[in-house]
Amino acid sequence: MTRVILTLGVGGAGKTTTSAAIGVAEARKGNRVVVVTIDPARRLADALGLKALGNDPQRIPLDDAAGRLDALMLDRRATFDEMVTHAASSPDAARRLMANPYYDAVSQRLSGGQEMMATEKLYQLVRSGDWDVVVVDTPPSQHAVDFFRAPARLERILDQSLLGPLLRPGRGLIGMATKQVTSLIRRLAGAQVIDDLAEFFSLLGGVSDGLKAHSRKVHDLLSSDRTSYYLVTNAHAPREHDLFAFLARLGEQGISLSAILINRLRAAPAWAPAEEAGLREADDPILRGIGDLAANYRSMARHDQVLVQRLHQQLGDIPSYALPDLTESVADLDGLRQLSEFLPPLSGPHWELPD
Amino acid sequence: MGIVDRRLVVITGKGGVGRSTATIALGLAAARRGKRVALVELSRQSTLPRMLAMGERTYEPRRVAPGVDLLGLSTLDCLADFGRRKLGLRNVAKWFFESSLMKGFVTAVPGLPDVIQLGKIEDMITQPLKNESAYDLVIVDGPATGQGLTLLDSARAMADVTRVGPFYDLALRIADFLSDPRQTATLAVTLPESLPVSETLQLDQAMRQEGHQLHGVLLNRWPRRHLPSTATPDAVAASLDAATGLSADGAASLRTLATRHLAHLDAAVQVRERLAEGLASGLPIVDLPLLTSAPLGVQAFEPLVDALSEVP
Repeated sequence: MTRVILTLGVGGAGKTTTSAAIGVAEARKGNRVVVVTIDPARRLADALGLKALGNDPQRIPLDDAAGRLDALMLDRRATFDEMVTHAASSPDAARRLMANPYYDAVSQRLSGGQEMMATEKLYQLVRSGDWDVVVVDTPPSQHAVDFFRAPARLERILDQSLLGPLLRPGRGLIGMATKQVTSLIRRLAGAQVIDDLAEFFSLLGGVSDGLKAHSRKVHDLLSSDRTSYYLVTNAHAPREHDLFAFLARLGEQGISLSAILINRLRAAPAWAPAEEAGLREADDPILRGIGDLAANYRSMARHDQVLVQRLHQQLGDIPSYALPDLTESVADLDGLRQLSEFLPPLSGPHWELPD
Repeated sequence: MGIVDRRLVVITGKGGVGRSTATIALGLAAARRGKRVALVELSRQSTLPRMLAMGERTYEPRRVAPGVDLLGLSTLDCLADFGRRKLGLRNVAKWFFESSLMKGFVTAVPGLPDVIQLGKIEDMITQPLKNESAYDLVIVDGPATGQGLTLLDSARAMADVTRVGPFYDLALRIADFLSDPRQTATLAVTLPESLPVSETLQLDQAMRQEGHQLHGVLLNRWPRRHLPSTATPDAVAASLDAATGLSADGAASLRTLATRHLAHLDAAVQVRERLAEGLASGLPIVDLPLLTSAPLGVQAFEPLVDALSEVP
């Protein structure tokens, strides 16, 4: 019985910290929670006060929680190994695949490979039945949309139809144009590269049915109403163009958000403009400085208000929540506890991954 | 040797810290010192041209300011260049390189896009063609930390898997170029905040373990001090108590604002000290001032360019 929460947003939005705080909030409500970070940097471990996180869930000491909290950091290579071992027809088939020179490079470096492995990890965690809630911290915007495409993308690569003419020359009818491109690629890359790739994809073909089955289940899970999407944004982040371009792409993918969490939102000033103006003309340089600071704050708060309005214009009537600026304090578990108090009530139906 | 006296500078750092901003500012600062500079974007996002109010990215260099050009390196364009230069495929039609088979190939070979882009950059530096501009310095707006390290390592990894052939030769050449500290420098951009600084220290360590090194850190969005140096939390409280024309609520909230501002400045100084202590000794740290709004156009970068004129 597992729910999935995905946090989305552009770089620097505070996704990792917010994901950790959601994990803390859910564990304090009595849930068994695991937080998955696929950010290549080790920030979640930092925020959780752990030196390093591994590819397997690691318990976070939360004494006051009724439930429990684990965290892990995705290790692409280890997850790829687990997936291949599980999907291969025999241990020997898995060994041969892992020994191919491209295996290492594909598991570590294939563009979009991180997103694919994250969906595989998500599959494993949901499948285990050990968790009530899986919180996934997605990579920054450019890649976060890849996350939803990952299952389909994996299938495309496994189908090899795209590379068929290159890797299996002489099979089937191919046009003159394709022949010319194939010969160009052979000259660019050299014969050895093509031969190694052909062997790799042929071995990968042996495990593809298993991999496709996983990726379809993850696709179903991601598009079911048991998965909630949270947009995390940061009122201080200067690149709003990126944020709105990202939201447009989410819309194209048919993803609807459950909530908007805005970090470091500046509330409207509690002092009057006249008070501010008076200070700026004071004799005391400290008061003049405070006046200057207050005017600066007012214009920033105004900017934040406009940002929130624009978000609602683009996203419609989605609840938005302001999270306080705890910049410096959210470097440890206590900071996460404080932040978790500000999160919206996260409740939703439970869901079981079909076999 | 100075950072901008090298031929290639790779800008790295975590998402959202201002890598693109720093790339542009460093380029403008180097041009002030008489360098001919190319700013290079590797991603498909057109972030640099948008910040400069120049629309979408183009593969052909465009002039940003005197001495500074801007290019976006699309993988397929770089691959076509590689074919023309290295294999003498002068007359191959453009569509060959844009066919779905070619795209599939480039996607299926891990690390190939990185190596092809880096190959183009190395060509720009070491052997520009007669009809191409020659640059003293290329500055690359690199991928986020973690992925940034991958960029530096991608050449070696490509050499390991290809073993023989044109890509192998290319990868070896690039690996040499990137690991030569007389040619290439890497700068990390970070913020005066706890987590970004921790991450920069981890990056410094990870790079040294891999046999690379950071050559400097740009501390972006350094907060502006609004209060005079005499302002302590107590002095702020005393001044506000003595002020006339303030409501009780107004005074209380202004006091909170000013106290937080002071705490924020103190925290920035402390985190800078932690950065300086943790980094390899002698590594320069340059503070880049916080801009009041997102930069748009060359003029907006002036305060940062001024700060970078001190870069060693």
